[in-house]
Amino acid sequence: MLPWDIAMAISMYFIAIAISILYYFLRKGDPDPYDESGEE
Amino acid sequence: MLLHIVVMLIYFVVMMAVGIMAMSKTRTVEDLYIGGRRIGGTVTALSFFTTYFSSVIFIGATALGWKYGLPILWKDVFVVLIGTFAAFAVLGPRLMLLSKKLSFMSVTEFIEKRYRSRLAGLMASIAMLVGLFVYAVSIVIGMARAAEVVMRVDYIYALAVTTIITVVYTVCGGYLGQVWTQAIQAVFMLIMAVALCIVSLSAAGGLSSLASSLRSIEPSLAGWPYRDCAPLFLFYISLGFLGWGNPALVMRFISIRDRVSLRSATVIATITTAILTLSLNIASAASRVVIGDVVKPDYAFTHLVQKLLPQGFDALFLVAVLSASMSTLAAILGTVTRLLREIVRVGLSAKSEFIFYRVATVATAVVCVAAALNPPPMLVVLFGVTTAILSGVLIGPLIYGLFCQRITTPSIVVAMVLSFVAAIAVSAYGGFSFPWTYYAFAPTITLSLAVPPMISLSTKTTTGRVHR
Repeated sequence: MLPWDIAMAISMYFIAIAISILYYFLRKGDPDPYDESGEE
Repeated sequence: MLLHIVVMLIYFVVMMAVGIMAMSKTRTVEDLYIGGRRIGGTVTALSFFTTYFSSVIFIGATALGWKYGLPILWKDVFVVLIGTFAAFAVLGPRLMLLSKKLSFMSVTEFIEKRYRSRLAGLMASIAMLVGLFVYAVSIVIGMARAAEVVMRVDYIYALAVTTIITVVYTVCGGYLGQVWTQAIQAVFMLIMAVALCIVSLSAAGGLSSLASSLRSIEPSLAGWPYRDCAPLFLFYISLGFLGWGNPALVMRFISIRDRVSLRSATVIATITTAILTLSLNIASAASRVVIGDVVKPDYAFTHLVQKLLPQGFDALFLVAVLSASMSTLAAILGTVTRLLREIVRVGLSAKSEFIFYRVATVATAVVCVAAALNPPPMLVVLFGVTTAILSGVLIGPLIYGLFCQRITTPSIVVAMVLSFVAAIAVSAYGGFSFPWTYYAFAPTITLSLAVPPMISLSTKTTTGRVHR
């Protein structure tokens, strides 16, 4: 059996991958937040 | 032996050919320093992670894994989450946009334009030059040692050959030469890391069996409580922040083509970094079981490769180590040259800019090689503190510059000075030795982030505005 803390460390790598994929799709449909017309 | 030399020669020829190909595409000063701001997502992502990881990811990490066992898996959790994903998602979009609007070609140039202060830009350049120079020398030494093993030649020849090849393709191809060779090196490193993980795990009998074997050697090798927990976790976190503070890494956000490329680069960089680091960390933890006791943990990676693979195949793995170093060195040479160009403010024609780039790159490499031949004692003691400097000093000025307009120029200058001095002072207090060089990161990043808001309360806002 793998110790819980080591299993958690391994799962963090996969969580990071999942977050990045989620980020890709969430940002895909976004209006452009860096619109150049929004200058101060 | 012959096979080793053939593999090395093929590798060197491919790198040089790519550098020369890139030369034909490099026509303007922007091409030279940032690839004309037209680098695609995949190449940016691959270039980012090869810049992040030098041969330390293979040799140093295996030594750590051999010494500390499975808890080494925590090391790159921070690199993947903070140093890669968060860096791309938080810093990337804004830096990319502002670099196009304000026409800057480096982070220190951004600091100068954002805070409208030559002093702030100069301070950042000097801090980064010190950090990057010491970092470059340590990489040159690591690269020569890896080549020494692969080619079985004297250290001095290994040093000369590897540095000359790296310099040639960096000088010929400029930024494009850097990132194209890095993309090839990245793929090679990934394949080798996954292969090493698979053979190590099968030799150890799988992950659960590995944990049991490590527990029987020493319980801390298999799980909580860990040895040297506090300094190591500070080191891991500082490695994570390298993605935010190292100008050679942050440059990747300036050179990327557009938002679509940046979005795909975020995913590709996170996935490739996670695969590379997880694979190598598992293999390094398995090394304790597979190779048993070693006199010097620094040689654990070489022993592991030689034990697990048939003769000849080990050359491929050691070329992967070399790739890791050469790619990081190329990026640092390019960044140092840009920093030098920002310090030497003289008007140059386009042709003279190319000459400056080539002369400065060669001169930097020569100084690094001279220092690597017989590292001065002061340089050796500074090796440990470079992570603290590169991870900590630039973070405050960069984050406040991008996201907070109320931060004033004096506060940023004071923060840079204090955090730089803190990195050196804390390490010096501990004799520049473990664990103090890792403890140095905590005050460095704290000062870099805490000082600017405090001083800004009592100083007048005179900074330049950035676009939201």
